[in-house]
Amino acid sequence: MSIVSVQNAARYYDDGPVRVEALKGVDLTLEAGEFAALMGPSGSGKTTLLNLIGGLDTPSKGTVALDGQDIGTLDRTGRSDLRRDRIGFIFQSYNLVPVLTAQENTEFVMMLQGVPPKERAQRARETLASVGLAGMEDRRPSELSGGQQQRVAVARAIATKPAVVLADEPTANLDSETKADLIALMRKLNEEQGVTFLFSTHDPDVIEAARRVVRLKDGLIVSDETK
Amino acid sequence: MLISMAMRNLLRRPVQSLLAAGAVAAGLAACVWMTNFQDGSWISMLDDSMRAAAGHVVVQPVGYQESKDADLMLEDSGAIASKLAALESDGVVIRRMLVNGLLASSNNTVGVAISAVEPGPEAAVSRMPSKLIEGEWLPSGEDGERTQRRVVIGDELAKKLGVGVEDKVVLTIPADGEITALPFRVAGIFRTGNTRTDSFYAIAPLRVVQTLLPGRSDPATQVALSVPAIEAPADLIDRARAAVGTADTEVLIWQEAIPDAVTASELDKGFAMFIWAILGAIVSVGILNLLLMSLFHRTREMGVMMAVGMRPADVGKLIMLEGALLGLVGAIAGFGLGQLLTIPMVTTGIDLSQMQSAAPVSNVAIDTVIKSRFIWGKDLMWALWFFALAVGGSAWPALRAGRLEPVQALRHQ
Repeated sequence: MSIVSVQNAARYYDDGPVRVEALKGVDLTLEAGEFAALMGPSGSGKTTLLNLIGGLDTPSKGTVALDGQDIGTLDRTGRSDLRRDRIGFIFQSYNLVPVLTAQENTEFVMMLQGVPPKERAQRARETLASVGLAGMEDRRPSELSGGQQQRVAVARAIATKPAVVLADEPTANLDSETKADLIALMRKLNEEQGVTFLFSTHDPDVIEAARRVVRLKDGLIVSDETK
Repeated sequence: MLISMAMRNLLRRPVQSLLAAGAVAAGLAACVWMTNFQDGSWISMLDDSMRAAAGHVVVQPVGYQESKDADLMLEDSGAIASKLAALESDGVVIRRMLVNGLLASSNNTVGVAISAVEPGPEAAVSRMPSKLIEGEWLPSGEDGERTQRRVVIGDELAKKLGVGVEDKVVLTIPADGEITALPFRVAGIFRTGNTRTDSFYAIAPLRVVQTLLPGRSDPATQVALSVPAIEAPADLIDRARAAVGTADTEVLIWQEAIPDAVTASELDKGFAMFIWAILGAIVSVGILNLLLMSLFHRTREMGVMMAVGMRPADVGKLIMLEGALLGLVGAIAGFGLGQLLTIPMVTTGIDLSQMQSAAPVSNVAIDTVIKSRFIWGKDLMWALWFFALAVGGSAWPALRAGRLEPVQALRHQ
């Protein structure tokens, strides 16, 4: 069974008398272990599709299923639980909780899951070490560089071993060297731990690294290539 | 981790958090201080009322309560006193005759209110002996007419008469259509701080004043029973009515006997409630404002937490927790501050003699120095109430936080 199954999904926004069609009916499936990128110009529907897959939004039409669970049938709490248990998120601007340390940020989702403190602390330490942040557990986001913050975000996303990690422009705010390191890190996690990644990006380096590239334009998928 | 997060979130805006917790603390401290003072003065007034105006139960002639007619007297007051005394073994029964008359010295003649009392029992319940600034209280022995003809007067009255201790005065009262008079010597001079009491009030032995009313049998205006506790047993008034109530007597509980004192207290409490309501509203709005501002600044952060799986209800809980922490800190600080501010009011008190001169309460010679009392139970209730106000003030921001849509929140700048 596919991890992600999007069928004829559309998303409309009504702005007064004007209807904005951000996504006009797309079909997409994602299998476990994929390292895929959604690409396209601004306004093409990348982030909208990512939000639908991530349960942050619901389709106006069509269905989006994660591990066979139709997200559109869930209420807000159900979608929260789905995100908590099955999805890892990496955002463009890191989006760590500023009052928590790297360790605590990594533990945060596990805390929401109810993982016992000792176990989650251990797992968070191991995960931080796996993204190259051993020794930086007690630093707060303000004490970390942009690249380090994004690594913490990666650690937070993968620490719960989600079905899929959704990354919205994860490299947009990083310099070239840091970006290359982060891409390499995510590839490594994909290859060694089997973590499934789906990016929205228009960064050529990410697209280069992706094994599958889905192109969107004007709310429609115009190509879907596997390398 | 949530508690830790809530604490750290509050510390992100330390000045605002301090102001909000300070509002809780200041409001609570004011309430605690006012409660301790109000209850202290209330208990003091109650105590004074028991001592000076009445007992827990007052027996007087029918119609006296409305008319205060000095001609209305109980007959055989000693028998009534004995029956009342039998009701409570540790109670004190006093008899008083309240008449108007003239007190004359060689210098002046002044209209006065005479309170004729039994010196012994009266000394057990009245504050007047402790208010003496010269001389002594009325003798309570049976040493004969010369020593019994003693009177205690206020210092303002003494000035008007131009007399001092051991000086002679003559008391004249109207009795059954005639004028009768007796000479007295001034035994002592008191000062209550209440100008009207000090200039208009004289206390003389009941047995002697009774001789000025030869046509009556052991007369008195009031017979009153006081018990040691502030609040009398609930059934005391019924037992008293059964024991001494007749068609010619009315048996009142003290609230009925001194309605002015009760009304003053109720007004006082009503005003305090008004002030407390305003303080409570200020505290709630302060918390509400802080948390709404905080929510506005942290909308994106809330969106992230919801995006990674925090339930909407838990986001609301985090906000409520922040309000609760502010309330807890404010409540602890306010409770402590309120008690600290109460200490000088308990040890020293405040002299309200000027206010009492302006607004006397019935004929109650109350203690002009009002002291607070530590009312721990009520103070703790206030602390809980202010804590609840803080939590209540965080409810709306929490609700708003819980209603955030993660997609919109993540776009918030």
